[in-house]
Formats: sequence, C-alpha cells, structure tokens
Amino acid sequence: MPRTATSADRQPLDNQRRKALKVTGALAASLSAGIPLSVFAQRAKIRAVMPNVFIPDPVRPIITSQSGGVEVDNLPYVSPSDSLAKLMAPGGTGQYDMIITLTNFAKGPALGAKAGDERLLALDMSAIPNATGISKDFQSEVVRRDGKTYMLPIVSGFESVVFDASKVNPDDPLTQSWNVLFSDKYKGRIAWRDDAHGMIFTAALAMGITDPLGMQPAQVREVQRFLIDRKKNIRTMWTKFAEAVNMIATGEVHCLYGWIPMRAALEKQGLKASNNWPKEGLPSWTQSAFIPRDSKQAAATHKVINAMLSPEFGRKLTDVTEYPSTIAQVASGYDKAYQTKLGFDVAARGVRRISFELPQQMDVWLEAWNNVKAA
Amino acid sequence: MAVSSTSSPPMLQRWQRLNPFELASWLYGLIFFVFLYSPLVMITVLSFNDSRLTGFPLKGFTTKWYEAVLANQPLLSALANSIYVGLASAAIATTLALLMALAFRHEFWGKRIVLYMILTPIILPGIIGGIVLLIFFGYLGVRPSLFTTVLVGHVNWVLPFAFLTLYPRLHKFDRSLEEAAMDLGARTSQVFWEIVFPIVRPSVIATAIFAFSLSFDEFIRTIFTVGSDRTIPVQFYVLIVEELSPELPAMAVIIILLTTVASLLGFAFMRRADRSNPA
Repeated sequence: MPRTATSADRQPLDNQRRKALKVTGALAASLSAGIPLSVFAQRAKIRAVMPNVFIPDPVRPIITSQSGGVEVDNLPYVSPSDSLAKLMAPGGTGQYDMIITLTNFAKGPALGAKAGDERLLALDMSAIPNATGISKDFQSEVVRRDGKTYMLPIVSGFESVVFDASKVNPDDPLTQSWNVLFSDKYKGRIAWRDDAHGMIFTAALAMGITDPLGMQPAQVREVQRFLIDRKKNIRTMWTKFAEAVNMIATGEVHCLYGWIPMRAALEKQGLKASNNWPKEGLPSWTQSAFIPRDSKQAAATHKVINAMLSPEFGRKLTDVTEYPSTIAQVASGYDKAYQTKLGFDVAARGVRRISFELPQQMDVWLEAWNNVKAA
Repeated sequence: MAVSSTSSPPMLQRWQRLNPFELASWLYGLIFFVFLYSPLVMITVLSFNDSRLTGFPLKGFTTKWYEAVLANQPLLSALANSIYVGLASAAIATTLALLMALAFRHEFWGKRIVLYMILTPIILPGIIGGIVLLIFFGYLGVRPSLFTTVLVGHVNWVLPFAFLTLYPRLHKFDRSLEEAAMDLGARTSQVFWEIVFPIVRPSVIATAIFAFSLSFDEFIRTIFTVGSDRTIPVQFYVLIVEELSPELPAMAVIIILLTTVASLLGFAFMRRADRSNPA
C-alpha cells in the first residue's frame, strides 16, 4: 500500500522550490540591473523617404538625442521622381512620415494647384524653433502658402564640374566655365552625366543662354545640335555615383559633370580633386523636409525636422558629406578657405546662382536628350 | 614501316580538318562565351583587388573585402531578407503553380483567358508592375514590408515562370497510372500523394529552385513595394547610386555563387525529372 507523503518528505521538495525561486530571482535581478528601464519604453520611429547620403550614421545619434529618442527608419531612396510618386500614389500621404527631396521639384505637385489640394501637413512652427536659424540665402526656399509653412530646406547643393586638379588647371578660365565639358581641350577625357535636365541646362549656359528654363523648343533644338556636335569629345556618360568617381580616380577621365560628394570621395582617395564655379552660373538646389498630410507620427516628425535644423546636425552633416547646411551658424563655424571650398560664400564671391528647377516642357528636353544619345 | 616523327597530334588534325565555316562558327562561339562570361571573371578578379576603387589597375591581392562583407550588418541583413523572401516566394509560387498545372490538364471554360492572366506579369514591364503594386497596396492601406507587399510582388512575378516550368511536365504525365490507381481503390488524395507527386517531385523541386533564383534577383518590383527593409538587389542599388563601396564586388561574387549553385541544382533536378518521365 503506497504511503502518503509526510512532512519529512515535503522538506526536500520545499528546499528545492526555495532554491529555484532564489536562483530565478537572482537571475532576474542581475539581468535587469544591466538593462536601463528606458529600453522597455517603446522608441518612436518615423518612416522617411530621403537620400541616404543626408542621414549617414554619424548624424543619427544627434537626431535621436535632440528629438527625445525618435529614430528615423529611412526607406531605400531611388530618385526625386520616385519619392514624389510614393507621395502621390493612393494612400501615399499616410504611408510615410517624412519626405526629404528636391524643393523645386516636389513643391508644385505636393502643394497642388490651389489651397486645400495640399498633400502635405502644414508645419507647426512652434515645434520647430531651429527653423529660425535658416540662412537668409535659403529663406526663399521655405515653401509657404497662405501664411502656413509646408517645406523647410535642410541641405543645399549645386551642380558643377568635378575634375582632377593635377590634370586640369583650376586657374584656367576654361576650367571655370561649363565649356570645359564641351571644348576640345580635354577631348576623350570628359564624361557627361546621362541626364536630360542637367546636361541640357548646363549646355545652354555654356552657349550663353542665361535663362535655360525659359528656352523655347527651337532653342532646345539648338542646344541639342550643340551637344551632338560636342559629343565627340566625351569618353562616356555616367549614371551612378560609383561609376563617376571611379572614372576620375583611375584616370579614365579628367573632368565630368559631378556632385559635391564625388569631390569628397576622391579627396579621401588621395586625389587632388576639385570642382569649378562656372562663370555662366551655378545650378543650385535645396532638399527640403515635409510631412505627408496623413502621417500618424506628425509630432515625432516635427521633432526630427527640428533636430535636422540644429547647428549640431548641420555641422556634422556638412563635415561628413561636404554638402552645405542651410543653417547660418554652420557656415560661420568654418574658416574662410573651407567656406569657399564648400560654397557657402558663392553669393559673396559673385558666382551667379541659378535655381536648378525643372522646365515646363520637360518632354521637349527629354526628346532632345534622347536624340543626343542616339546620335 | 616506321611511324612518321612529324605526325600531328589528333586534336590538331581535327582542327585542320575543319572547313572555314566550321572554324568561323567555333570562333563565334568562343567570342560569344568570352563576351558573356568575362564580366563575371572581371568582377571576381576585382573582388580580390587591394584598392578602394572598383577598377583597374590591380594593386595587389587581398581578401579583406570578403571580410568587410561578413562584417557589414546591413548587407548581411539584406542578404538574409532576400533568402527568406526567396524561400517563401518559391514555396508559395511552386504550390500554386503545381495546383494550376494539375487543373490545366482538364478542359474548363475560360481556360485560355486564365492562361493569359497567369502569364501577364511576364509581359508587363517591371516598372509598370511595380507602380501597379504601389497603387494597389496604397488603396488597400497596406504598409510596405517584406512579408506583405514584397512577398506578394515576388510571387506575382515568379508564378508564371513556375507554371511554365511545371505545366509541360505535368501535361505529359501518364494519366493511365492515375486511372490504374483509382481502379484499385485509391482515393484522390492517395493518387496524388502516392502516385503523381513522387514522380513529379524532381520537377517540383527544380521549379522551386528556379523560383527562388528569380525572387532573389528581383529588383524593380521590390523597390516600389519594399518598406524600410532591404533585399540584396535593393541594397546594392542604394550603395552604387550614392556611395563608393569597395566591398560590392566581393558581395557580388557571393551572390553569383549562390544563384549559380541554385540554378545548377535546379538543372540537375530537371534532368532527373526528364529521365524519370520521358515524353
């Protein structure tokens, strides 16, 4: 007959239970001692569509700390057209929390034809006090309608000719002109960008057309003929960043239509790279941040935009990418030579800045460029 | 009789017997394959180049770019995402393709229209397909992510290929085997699992492997449907467009190896399927 358990039997079991509880408690205590309580609080995260170059890893901690812990989850960036397509697609105003793209490209479609058509949220400027630090040079880039602000410029940039200064003389007047891409002097050592907007815009400037955006179709055809005639001087056309940088670094070309970070990347390779300040005009742009109308993280996004307009973020971004921040205080933190190198003082130097907008008749430009490529 | 000490080796004699047309054909074939495979050889060579630039001249041998790939969390994460989505797409698309191929063995109303609908994603340009998916999911209010929008886009792309691979093999399947099994009292499910599936299994596996390869390489539809996650083609694109990443050739070699192995496995299973179920 099985005997019932006595208190003598229960003692070892009780001891085992107590041991187990002790161990579990000790484990929990030691684990939680190493874990800050804030971890258990859910961090706000916003979904952003923006060029990845404007959110390199070194700037992320600045955004997170200045926004009170908000993190930016940035989607793969393709182009301004893709960003706008995402906003304009059905449901697009609610899928993303922040978009940063070319100001002049996006503002028209994003604002719509009239008040009430906006696909953007009017910004609460009281939540973005750092906006007062935007340089006066970029105040015209702030997008407003009926007294409300919709887009704020975060970073600026320009198109120019990037060249190997050991092979191309920076002091040559030709170098400081768009004609360096079209003249015979560097025949076979030039690369154009495979881009209708950029190439027709700059070719028009090289031809002496002061207002490329105002060109009539007949003028565009003249530019097309000019480009076809000058095409014999080029080595190739580039489409990707890495392609362009490699071409100059390996000596395949000496100069090309390029961007600021290309110059920075080449300098990091030890190359004596520079860019010109074309006397005909410097196509300039800004990239602005805005919040899609139905974003569910508008409050957090305001904080992120405010963080991105802080001098700390602007300085770090400019240090890493060499793109000029739009915040006035950032420029004054550099010495004169570096300000000149980055282009902060282009207006003061008398370099003509031209807004790098899209033309009304982009289809005419596209057709002309396709003819240039086919020739 | 003494053997001539000046007789040509057999291979040379064979070449010497070729007429000019045959020689030209061989030369054309050689140039064709050189043209086809030299970029792959070049990228493999450049992946071992001790230079931050992806290009010539070669500056020395190194394996550090492979080490950089293994230490690059975003790249590895994108690779893992591509593998997960690839496996899921392959499983779903192969299952659906198998069911459709079985159905297509029978006549039914609208069969031709259904066939055209199945094949539409092949005909539609990728960018149009991507935009359609972007608009579709926008209307539904579905947030882009790997296992919602991306997976649907990949299955949509891969399914017609899976169907076109499986259908001919099921079409020539000997139906008398099924009839015999049914005559002997087998239920429909038994006929499928114990008679049909074991015979077509190599084809199904080969189809799944091909489907995985297609999904793994898919870019254009993914870029419109991916959220903040990245697949490996998307990550590559972002790196090439905006950065100078010297470890990209090494990553490319790894991906080429993965997809080559997958494709070869697929071919091997396909050959096995053809041998076990000849026309």
